Amino acid sequence: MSEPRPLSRRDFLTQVSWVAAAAPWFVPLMTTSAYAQDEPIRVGLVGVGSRGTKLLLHLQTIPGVVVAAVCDNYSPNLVDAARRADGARRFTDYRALLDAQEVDALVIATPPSSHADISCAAMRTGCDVFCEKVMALTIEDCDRMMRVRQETGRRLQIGFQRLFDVRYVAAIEAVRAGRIGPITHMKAHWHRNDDWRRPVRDPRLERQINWRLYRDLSGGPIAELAAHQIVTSNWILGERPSRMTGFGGVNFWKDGRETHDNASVMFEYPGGALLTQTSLLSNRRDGVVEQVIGPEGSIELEAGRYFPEAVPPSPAIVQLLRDLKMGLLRTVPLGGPSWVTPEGSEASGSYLVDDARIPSPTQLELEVFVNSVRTETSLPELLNESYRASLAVVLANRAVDEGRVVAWAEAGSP
Amino acid sequence: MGTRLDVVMPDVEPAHGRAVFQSIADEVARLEGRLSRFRRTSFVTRINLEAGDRPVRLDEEMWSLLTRCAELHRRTSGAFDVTVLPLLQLWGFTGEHPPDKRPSAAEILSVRDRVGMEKLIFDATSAAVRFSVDGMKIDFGAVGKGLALERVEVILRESGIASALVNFGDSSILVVGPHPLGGPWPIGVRRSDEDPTVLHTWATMDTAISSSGGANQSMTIDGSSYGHVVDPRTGVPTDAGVLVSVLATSAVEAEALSTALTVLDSPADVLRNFDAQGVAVDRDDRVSSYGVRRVV
Repeated sequence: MSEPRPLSRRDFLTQVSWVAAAAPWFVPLMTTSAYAQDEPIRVGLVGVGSRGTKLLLHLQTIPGVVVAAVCDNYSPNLVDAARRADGARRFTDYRALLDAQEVDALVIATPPSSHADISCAAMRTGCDVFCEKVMALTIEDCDRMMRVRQETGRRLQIGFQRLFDVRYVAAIEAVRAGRIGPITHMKAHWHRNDDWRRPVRDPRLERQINWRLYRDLSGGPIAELAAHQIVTSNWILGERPSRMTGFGGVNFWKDGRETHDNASVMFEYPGGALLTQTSLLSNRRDGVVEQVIGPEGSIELEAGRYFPEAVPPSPAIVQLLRDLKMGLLRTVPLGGPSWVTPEGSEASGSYLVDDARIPSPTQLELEVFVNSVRTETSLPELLNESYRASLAVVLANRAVDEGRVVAWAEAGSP
Repeated sequence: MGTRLDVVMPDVEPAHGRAVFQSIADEVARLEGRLSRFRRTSFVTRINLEAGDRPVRLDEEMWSLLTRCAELHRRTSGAFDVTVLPLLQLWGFTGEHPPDKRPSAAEILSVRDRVGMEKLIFDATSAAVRFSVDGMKIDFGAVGKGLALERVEVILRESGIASALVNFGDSSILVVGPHPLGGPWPIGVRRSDEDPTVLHTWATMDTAISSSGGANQSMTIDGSSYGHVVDPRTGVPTDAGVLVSVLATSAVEAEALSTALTVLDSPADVLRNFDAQGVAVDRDDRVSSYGVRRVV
């Protein structure tokens, strides 16, 4: 069987014109000027490892984008990226890249500890910035990025790609339509079974290559994995957590790493809903699941599936009730083979988005970024979601580190 | 019973309707607890565990049901049989994985030795039943919903409900009294929710409809599609494309007949013995009628 054809952009925009209410950051995609090919947007990439390369490949498919510069302090990655981006200037230091003043926008895919410095420097030199999530590892750095953005008037977008997943938007629509009732709980886990290490040819490069394992460079699984699920939880609930707590540690990959290989965190929201999230690096059976739960049903966000609590009514009975109400006497197509309680559907649910050929969220987030740069559009709701999720990650790590319940008020942000 | 139950009671005061529905739901749950072979504590489970070794005494309800099934077995020339379970298991229709290939004739014959209501030994004096062959099993799956509908009818009438439609998963429907607009309720027969083309319409009033067909429970083995009804006499499943529907004054008889008609070569001869009418639809939607007295 052949792979489904990806939705064309026209298909997508037609189908998701309802998206704007739940995700106003889609708006730049819907503007007619979005694909104008007047002045090319010159983009530089800082950090061209696995994620950065993926962003590079997506950027190269966007009309009117020129990847003008690539930067990495790890030469194999830089060589590889330069090979992919023909004509791009190579840099080993982002400051040199910025000093050259040859790019309009900077895409940052470096370890989170460096996000604030690079982003702020870029915005101060007049660049718009797309920075991978999370914003930063401290509240001070997150706030600094917000402050510099405000001072410079540049665009700052953080790469939480789930905010661009049509399935999640459809889930919000379903929640707002009352299909699961009020949200009482969010349950998420991200389980994998590997040591999260990359091969290191020179021991001196260990921290540089395996930055995810070191606390001064990375927020560990809560920042790298749970962050995606925290941002969607905040988005769907329409609020940020009021307090959080959790546990975590290293109980399997005892190889000298500093970040957790297992963590379980809990967030309480002002409306009373909880998010419980587990990250695990020692078993992959449960994979990645994000459930939104209410008294009338639940939704698995990552799969776009809806599971009603009650058995759906027979369509013929629905017709009969309608006919009786309207005083109609007509044949009801009710009789037939036994309708069996759908164990299959209990297992697989029903899909919220009819067409499974949904666009890549990473592609969409980059297109939105490029178009917002081109049209000089700010997306405050998008940045606010990213900021709140990044703060929640910092506070959750603090709760685990200090073994206590941490209130949102500690972020010093509304 | 692995399906949904709809009860439509027009023009009934809501509180009364809810109370009646609760009584119905309680009775259905009680019956399921007794009749389901999936319940460890059901009467059927006890029979299946013990009747091979010794006679199992039945209470009045179980004795009445089992002897009634034996009578239906005789009146349908053996086409309806509550001991067919081992054959259903052989073909993989009971939740087990379907076989990779069609069972051999020898396998079918071997299992068929354990099937047949004539192999049940009834002792009327002590109201007991015993299996005459090891490995026999009883399954009321083909008739349980009919019995439940008969009980539901009693509840409805005792509750003063003059007009109601009860639907057990579309395959078993009971209509009590006239349609609120007068006369019988026109109930169409179709292959599935997804294919609601009406192939036949029953005019129903104080009658039950039972339908049987493979649309929702068929399986494919070696490229051949089989319906979930196995002929207890040959040990072979029916054509998955065949849909049968029966209208009868007795819900239990409607259930037994819809199963029997699926496998019978001469349905009219059997239907003549009942206050019932039937239609059979082949895979090309050609409808054959048996004793149909009124067509809407």
